[in-house]
Amino acid sequence: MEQRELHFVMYGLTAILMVIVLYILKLDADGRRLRKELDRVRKMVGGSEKRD
Amino acid sequence: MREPIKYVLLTASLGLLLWSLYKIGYVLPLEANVAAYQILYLHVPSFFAAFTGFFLGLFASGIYLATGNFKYDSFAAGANEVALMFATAGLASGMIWARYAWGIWWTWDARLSSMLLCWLVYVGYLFLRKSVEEPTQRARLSAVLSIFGCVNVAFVYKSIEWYRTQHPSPVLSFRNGGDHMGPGLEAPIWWNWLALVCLGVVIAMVRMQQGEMSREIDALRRQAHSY
Repeated sequence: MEQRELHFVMYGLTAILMVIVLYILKLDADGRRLRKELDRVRKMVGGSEKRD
Repeated sequence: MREPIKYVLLTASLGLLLWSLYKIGYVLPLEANVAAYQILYLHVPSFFAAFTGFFLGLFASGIYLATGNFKYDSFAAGANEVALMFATAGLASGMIWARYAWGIWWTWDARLSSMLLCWLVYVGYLFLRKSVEEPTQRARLSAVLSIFGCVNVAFVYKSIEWYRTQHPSPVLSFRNGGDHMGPGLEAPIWWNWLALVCLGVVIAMVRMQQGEMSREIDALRRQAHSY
């Protein structure tokens, strides 16, 4: 295979992998934010129930 | 139960991708003219994985509208979001191919323009989900948009058969028209598609779990406001 062609496949692969990795990082950040928010709301509701 | 499935699918996906890349790079007897199209081995599977996700989103949206079960709404959101990611990857790799083959990054031909429109519709879908707060209204509106968007997916798929513009004509043997690659050279396209679908399923499962967490947060907030 020509060297240029192998490079070319690698550029395409890099572009695709970069999109996938960026998306997975965003997904991970969303997951952490949601877990934090869920804990906060659970504590808030727990506190309200105790007051009642 | 979900966790082991995720790891099996993820391992299968990575294994298939590596095996397929090895075949593309070192085993397949690529003729000179086919060598110029090597990026197809990643570009086409990205779009096929995207179309698979959009169609799964369509079915899940239809089932949500019929049953009102929020699990299908979460599934549709996950499938469409993952599909949009693959469509973005496909567009990016296509632009790299275009720069190499045509000397330009982009042209307004039928296939590229319709795909960009499709991409924008699904970006709109995600914005819609973020902008509507009420869960039932959000689910119903996004289900309708998902169904509408999928009509465009069918048009994108057929556009290279209907319009002979700058985008290459079909290369896969089961499609009409174009210069086919041949079954031996086609195989890695299907393996890569399977690998990306496995990866997409894992990501969609994570996304569904997040959807469930979001709904729990909404329910708890409503409960807190009712005190």
